Amino acid sequence: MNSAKTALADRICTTEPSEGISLLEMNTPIADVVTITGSLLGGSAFNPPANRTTAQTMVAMLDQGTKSQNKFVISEKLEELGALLTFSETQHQIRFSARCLKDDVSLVVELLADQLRNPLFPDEDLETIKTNMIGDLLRTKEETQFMVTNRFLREVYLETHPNYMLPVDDQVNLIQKLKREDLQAFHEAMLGRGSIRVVAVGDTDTTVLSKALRDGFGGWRKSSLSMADVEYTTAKKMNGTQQTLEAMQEKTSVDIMLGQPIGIDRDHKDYLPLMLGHFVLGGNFSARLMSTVRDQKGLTYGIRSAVGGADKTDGYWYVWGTFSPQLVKKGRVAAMEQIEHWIAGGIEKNELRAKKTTIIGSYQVSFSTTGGIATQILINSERGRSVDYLDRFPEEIAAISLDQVNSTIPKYCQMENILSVAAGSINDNWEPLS
Amino acid sequence: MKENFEYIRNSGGVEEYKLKTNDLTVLLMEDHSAPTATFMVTYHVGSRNEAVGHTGATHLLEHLMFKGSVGYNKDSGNSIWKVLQDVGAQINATTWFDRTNYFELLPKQHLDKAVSIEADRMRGAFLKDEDRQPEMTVVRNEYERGENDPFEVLDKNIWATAYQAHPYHHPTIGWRADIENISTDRLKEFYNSFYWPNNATATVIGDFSVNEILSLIWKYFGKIPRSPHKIPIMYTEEPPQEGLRRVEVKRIGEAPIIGVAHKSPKGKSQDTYPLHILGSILGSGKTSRFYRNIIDKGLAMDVSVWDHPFHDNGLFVTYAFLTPETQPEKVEKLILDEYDSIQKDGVSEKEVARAQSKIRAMTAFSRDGSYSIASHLNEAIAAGDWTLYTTYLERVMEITPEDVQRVAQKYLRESQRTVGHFIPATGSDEEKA
Repeated sequence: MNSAKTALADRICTTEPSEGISLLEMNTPIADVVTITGSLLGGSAFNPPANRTTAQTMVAMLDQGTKSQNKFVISEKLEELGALLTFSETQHQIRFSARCLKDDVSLVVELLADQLRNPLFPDEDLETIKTNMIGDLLRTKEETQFMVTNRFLREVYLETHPNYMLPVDDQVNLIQKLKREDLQAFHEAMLGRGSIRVVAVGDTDTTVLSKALRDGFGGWRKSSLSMADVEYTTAKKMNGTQQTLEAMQEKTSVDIMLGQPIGIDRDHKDYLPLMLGHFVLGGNFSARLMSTVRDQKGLTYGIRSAVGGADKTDGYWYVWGTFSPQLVKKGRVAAMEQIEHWIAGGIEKNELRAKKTTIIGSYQVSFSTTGGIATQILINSERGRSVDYLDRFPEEIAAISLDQVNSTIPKYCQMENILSVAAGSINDNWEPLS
Repeated sequence: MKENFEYIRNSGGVEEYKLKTNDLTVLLMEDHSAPTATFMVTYHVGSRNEAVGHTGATHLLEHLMFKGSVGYNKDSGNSIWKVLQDVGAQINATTWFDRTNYFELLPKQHLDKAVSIEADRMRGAFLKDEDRQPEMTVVRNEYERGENDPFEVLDKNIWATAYQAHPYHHPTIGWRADIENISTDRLKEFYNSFYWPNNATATVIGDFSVNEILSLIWKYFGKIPRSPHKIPIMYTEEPPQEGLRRVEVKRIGEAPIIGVAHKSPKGKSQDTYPLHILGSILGSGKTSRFYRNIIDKGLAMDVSVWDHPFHDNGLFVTYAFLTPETQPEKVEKLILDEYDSIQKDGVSEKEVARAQSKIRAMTAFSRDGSYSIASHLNEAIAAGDWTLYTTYLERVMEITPEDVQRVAQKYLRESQRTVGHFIPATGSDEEKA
């Protein structure tokens, strides 16, 4: 890995084309294609307390026209080039993502900047977007996996925590209340130069990219937003095992989540050992849960284990699984047996060795497309790490000892505090409906 | 090592070889953009090769192919998942109408493991009854998850209504009773009929040299004989459709979905290309006709046109995910009005040029990463000719507005139409009581 590590950091060129904008660029052998991804602070954690759907709606309106050109003019320009440009929001960031041919980079960056800087938020489009968002939200009520996640996070966190998910009907009500002025005020208060990161990978040209970014974003107001502005409460305390049901009608499969809050984030020293421990439990097909609950017992199509929601906030660990209504009780028992064995006995030396190789190998594989490379560079930067960390990560994984993993697991995972949530057509005892 | 292979042709940077001893087709493309490679074996068998009573057999067999083979199995401590995932490989398999593919995307230094495993299970898979029983419930849960999704259920019903004799009638995952009852012997029969080198294509894309990979393929696949029998062919043809068909699915849900489907030509037909342009004009991006006339009016959250080219005749389908209060009939009429308009007045040169630009860029994007290239080749292999992928852009760029109008007139006819509606019911609906 050493040569690959050195090569990675050395291949990323970091510059600041304009104050408050960092450009991380990596030229790769692909011909003609450039993938651009980036972000700035202003995601859902920055929502005003009165309406937790503001950031999401504002982002959905970014491609609905600007002060100088309507959405169809922008779309025609992009589509005539075959270019793609989308916006999304995460817990802390507003993200953008573009793919285009090399010759079209300048125009795509110009359109990106115009949409980020000068959105018009037209009233009639806002009504259409709200209708569509509400329709999409209502459709999530048909999805057992979405509903189990939503309920699990509501059980683990208070409404004031970034990991909390509002019930769907509450989100619908809040979206209905939003007005153009709310979006304008949020945009005005949150967005600006300061935390803008742009990652470009592929057939890139530094001069062209830097000029396009300077032209597009130079002169935009400064935003003083920082991660320190996010205030939140920690997760609820789990006292004893709890079993909860999100009842749904006419569902042929049930989704379950078992888990608990961990009280630490990704930067904590215990995070990587805990993540590795979970990888042994349920990180992939050859991990314990899939080997036993699926492969040996045939109880499920899929079951996995991971640590989630730990980017700059206190996260949680979970086991997710899918079962037929007739097998869900059995499935839960089988999963709990594995969790109990894992907490009490820890993992074995050969498992640790194998999963370290898996994680390091997967990491290498994730750099095989321009999109994969760009995402890794962006996430690394958003986490406040230097590009060197992209090379150090495999070393950190390799250095984790068996003792570290086995002493970390019981610190954050206790059988007596596991929350069990199901979503589907079963009764409160998790038995099939008669 | 090249002497063991016959060089066949090169198209778009992909080289085709044939392994002389057993007729295994080999497709190679060097791509040194990352130190990884994708190895994929495509068997020319899918759910189109199944019949009543054993629907879903191809897919269930695909699952059992991971349960162990002579050289790679749990008892020896080297199961397929373990060997490959331990080195960070992304591995899986998929089954569809016309093909079954097994693939590994992995660090290049481990390519030999992927080649060895795929060769070993080509003829050495165990396929034990004691493995089938637990795997059946796994697949049944996969089926149940599909049944949870209103769109999947509607799609399944549209295909089953549009195709009555041809095996595209049944879903690749199979009907529930067939999944539950198919015997291990029947699965073995299926395996012994179709899993042979002369019914497969090995595709390798990534960071390797041609000599090195041919050497590996010869080492592991060279000893496998060609099938002792002719590979069975599927000869059922769909009788002509003679009028509009409708299907309705009513169950608990939140918003209606509609699908308007028309019979489309075989994937290898030259009409595939103008139909793709037509699909883009209708449903791709904010400039598309459906975005302006349906989504932008708040009638649907999404409208997309789906026209995947298959080995046999397929479907050109417009799916619309309606906003909760929208009446399906209204959007169905808007879709059909747009078809009528194109049949009568055609499309503009600007619309065609824009669709071509999108496809030109998408083709360049599709070359980003070895798995993406292998995956596109896999679908072209399934349709009957891998060069459909490498020559696609060239064909698309030749299309004129007149071609688009002609295919709209030829295929979007009422007699060839199947319309499906998903109607959300509430728990209090009488029919559901």
